[in-house]
Amino acid sequence: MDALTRRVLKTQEPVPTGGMEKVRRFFRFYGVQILLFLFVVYVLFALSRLGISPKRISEGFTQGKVFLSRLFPPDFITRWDDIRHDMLESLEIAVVASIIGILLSLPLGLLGARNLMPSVVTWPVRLFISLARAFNPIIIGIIFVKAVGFGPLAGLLTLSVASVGFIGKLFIEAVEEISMKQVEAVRASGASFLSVIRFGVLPQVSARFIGFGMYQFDSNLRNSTTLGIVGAGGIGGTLFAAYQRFDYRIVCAIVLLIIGLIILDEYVSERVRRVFQ
Amino acid sequence: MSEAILQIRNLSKSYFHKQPVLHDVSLDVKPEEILIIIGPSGAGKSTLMRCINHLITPSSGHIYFKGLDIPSLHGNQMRACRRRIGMVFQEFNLVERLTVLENLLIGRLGYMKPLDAFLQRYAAEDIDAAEALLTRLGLREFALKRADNLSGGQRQRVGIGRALMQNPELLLVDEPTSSLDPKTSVEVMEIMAELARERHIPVLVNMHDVNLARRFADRIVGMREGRIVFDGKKEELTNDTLAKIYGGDSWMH
Ligand SMILES: Nc1ncnc2c1ncn2[C@@H]1O[C@H](COP(=O)(O)OP(=O)(O)OP(=O)(O)O)[C@@H](O)[C@H]1O
Ligand SMILES: [Mg+2]
Repeated sequence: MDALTRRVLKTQEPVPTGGMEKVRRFFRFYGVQILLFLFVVYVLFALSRLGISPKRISEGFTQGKVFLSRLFPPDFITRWDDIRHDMLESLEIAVVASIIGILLSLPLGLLGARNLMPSVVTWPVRLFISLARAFNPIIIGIIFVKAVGFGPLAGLLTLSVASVGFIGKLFIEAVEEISMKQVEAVRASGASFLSVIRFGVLPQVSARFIGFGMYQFDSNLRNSTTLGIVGAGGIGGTLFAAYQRFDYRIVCAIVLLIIGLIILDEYVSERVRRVFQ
Repeated sequence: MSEAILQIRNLSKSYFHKQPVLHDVSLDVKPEEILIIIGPSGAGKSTLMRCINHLITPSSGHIYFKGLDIPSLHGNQMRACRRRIGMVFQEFNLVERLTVLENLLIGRLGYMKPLDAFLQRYAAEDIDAAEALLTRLGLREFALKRADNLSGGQRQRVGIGRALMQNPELLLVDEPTSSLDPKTSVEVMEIMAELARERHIPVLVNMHDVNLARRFADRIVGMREGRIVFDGKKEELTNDTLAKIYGGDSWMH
């Protein structure tokens, strides 16, 4: 028998029947099943703790039917001035925050890229961007409302921070994936650092940057419709107020307008992305 | 014999401590000559070239280029020196998303004011020069095409055009034909040699193809393991010297 055959055969020999060895074999064979079983038990436990039972669900549906019947027909008229003003405010917050976010992310994306900058520069930039991304916009919104007071300024700051958190990271990744050959060629021509960025780096990332910017705008538009709930401006405030006053027909009108806005945005951003492909 | 354009003296380079890639290399490039460096992969040919235009800094030694010691230059002085040395790359290294004309004009960036460069405000005579060069390179109708639409041979011509737009006093050419088929290789070398001769620019070329080197070189230098092991006219490049450069002779048959 050669060495290989012996090694193959050895794995088929009966294993020593020591206690620990048995336990280890048991887990090797049933490990995945045990984990799956524990997971199912946890889900059932969580449902019971939340008080979710078939009875609770059917109660929920009955209430839902009543609620639905009170939504229609939508009422656009009673509070039209508020609705119009706040919808436009949401849109403005989203547009301006996206632009601020993109303008800040451009330099940060270049400064945070490890293929262009030394680590003394990249790590503070990356830390800053991670912090900007760490919290949900609602939480940042609460902080800004406390810091600068109620109103659209808080929403604008919130979404600017959130934008930097997301597109800053995507920009860095895009810059780190570029071909350094093109960069080196521009460098070899004696171009200044700024020209190397402008001609060696930006042409390689501009289309992706535009795509990321558009995605961030989509996201900002959705978030700008909820920030009003914490008092940071936009349609969310009116929506929440109508809801608390049980003005469900106004709620319905606002929800329909938000849906319309999002559909319009999807259409526009699809067109823009196609142009820059 | 006239004064050398480029004098490399005792140049050494290690990327890692005590692992030199270049050992004490000394070499002169004379005016208007085409000097071709051959040698096996890893011999340090590209490293030598990248030291010359200061894309990397050598560990020790000097490179004198018209009175400047290149490794000692920094910042603006270094960039002002770089723009006088054109470089052509094995994989062309064109900016893919820019047009052919814009790629040629990259050769002018080193001469432009920062704001003009940023806004692509090229001088009219630069654009004229680029168009004239494109005509010479047979790329006139491609001027406004994006560089990523071109074939390999066309791309390398753009690479040559970009380097020549710098009005260089020396051309560094790193394996210009390794990504091209044999016929295109000869064509590209021909147009490059022709344009360099016309402008009286000395050329330093790295390549693997010994026959192509024989065809275009005024002088051939053989490198092996970071040292120059042959330096002479192409007639002096015998099979024995080739065996010394590449090691063994079984690959010749
Ligand atoms: N940036 C780098 N960092 C570390 N080592 C490097 C680097 N560039 C090159 N080397 C090493 O230096 C040695 C010489 O490389 P170089 O590219 O100069 O050789 P070459 O003669 O151009 O080879 P080829 O004909 O394959 O292009 C090689 O062993 C390579 O691994
Ligand atoms: Mg090389």
